[in-house]
Amino acid sequence: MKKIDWFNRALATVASLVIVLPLIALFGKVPWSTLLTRLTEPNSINAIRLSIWTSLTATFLCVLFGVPLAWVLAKGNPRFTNILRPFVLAPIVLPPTVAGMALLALLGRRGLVGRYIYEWTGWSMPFTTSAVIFAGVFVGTPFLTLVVESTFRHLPKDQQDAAQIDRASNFSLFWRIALPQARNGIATGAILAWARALGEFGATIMFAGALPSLTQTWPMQVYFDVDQDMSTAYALSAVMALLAIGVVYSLRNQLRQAFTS
Amino acid sequence: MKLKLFIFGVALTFIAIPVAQAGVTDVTVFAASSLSQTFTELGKNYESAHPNVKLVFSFQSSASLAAQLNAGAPADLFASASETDIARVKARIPQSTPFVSNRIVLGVLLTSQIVINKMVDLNKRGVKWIQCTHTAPCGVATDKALSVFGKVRSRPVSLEASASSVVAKLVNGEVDAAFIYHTDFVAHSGALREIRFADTLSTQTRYAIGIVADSKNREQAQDFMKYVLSAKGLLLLAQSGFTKLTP
Repeated sequence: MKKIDWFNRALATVASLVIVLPLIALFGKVPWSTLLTRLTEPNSINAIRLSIWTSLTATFLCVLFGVPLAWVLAKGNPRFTNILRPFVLAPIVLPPTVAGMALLALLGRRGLVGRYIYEWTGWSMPFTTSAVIFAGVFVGTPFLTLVVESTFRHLPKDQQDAAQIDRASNFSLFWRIALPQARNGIATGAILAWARALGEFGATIMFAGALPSLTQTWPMQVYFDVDQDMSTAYALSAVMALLAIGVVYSLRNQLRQAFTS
Repeated sequence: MKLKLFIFGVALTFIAIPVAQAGVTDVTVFAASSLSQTFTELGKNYESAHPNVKLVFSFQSSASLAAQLNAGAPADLFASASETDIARVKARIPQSTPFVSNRIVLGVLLTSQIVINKMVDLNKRGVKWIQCTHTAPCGVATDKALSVFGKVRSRPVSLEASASSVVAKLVNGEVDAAFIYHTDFVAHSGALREIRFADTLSTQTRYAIGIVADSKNREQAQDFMKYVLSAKGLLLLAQSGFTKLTP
């Protein structure tokens, strides 16, 4: 403790208060006595259920495609990966509305690709649960690849070297050696991607619309409840905040490793 | 060195902005999203005649704006798409004046692949249509109109937060049809066709406008409201498709 001077201590206090106070205030506004009935209202429960299963599906897809992507980014030709990386990480810092515009530009009925899908099949992605999942994959995958690429880069080299000497194929190098070694990083990335997909709001409301049970997700329910029923909005928000704190707490060691090495 | 210059430039811009506008009063106007085009135009006209006033508009669903006002939002004037929503903020807006009405119609995309000529065509397979969420005035009016009509059995694919987001999604071709205000049809008549309900009463919503009692710019807000309610203002509203309320 003595290593920290008063100046840094003061500014750090301000910084933590800026973050901690609103969260405390949020919990202070929760109608604890009616919490359970508010969370089990049809609208709330539908939104929670929809959010949980769509975010889990999105996470599955993030892992399925994102882990190989992280492998390519870690082991591929830097001249190629250095160009690809900024694009696949962009959604981390992209405003949600811009993400929504991008998804519409591609998959809307008049979108670059959506136009042809609609002409040929009569189906379009906006206003479907698929759109909710797609938005989740779009915003979640970058978090997964960010962590997993870093994990792949810092795996102990000896086993991979030994395998290469034994002429293991690139395929089994990935499946038999890198993947098991990277399982902690993959789990961390998956949890971050899940949390991001669960909390996704802006891109989803623009791209998927809002219909109870079909596309109206948990964060969206909060947004609509504010106009009508503030207490339920607080109840739904507080559970979301608890989840977020829980996620970061459970990942405290992994996160420190992922960003220090 | 370049970076320092850049930061200096940015800082200077931020310092310069308030200085450049000294002597100008910002009047914050909360208005229903369906008023956005007309009020923007009214605002421009008003500002050019009153260079010392700058109007800052927030166009959203009247239900959202009412909730924000009840949470203490610093607005000076509120123009609501329904009398119900302005009544919800009685504590801050004790008096309001109904001024125009609007009605809900079915807007159909001219380029829609499915033929929609009458309301019941919404029941056709593959038709995607949207409306406002049940709490927004446009949603309240749509729900009422549909329940009186009683023959639309399909469900909307989305309940949008505000009238303006419904229109935007329709005009951008994401859906075939949507329940929109007649005024929004007027604004986009090049891309849309409108189908009206036979019953005119159930489809109607009455707009009301009122000053926020604790506003710091009461005088300026009052003056802009007077302009909206003047013959000139009402003429522009009528040209946009609103119906003048006979007092």
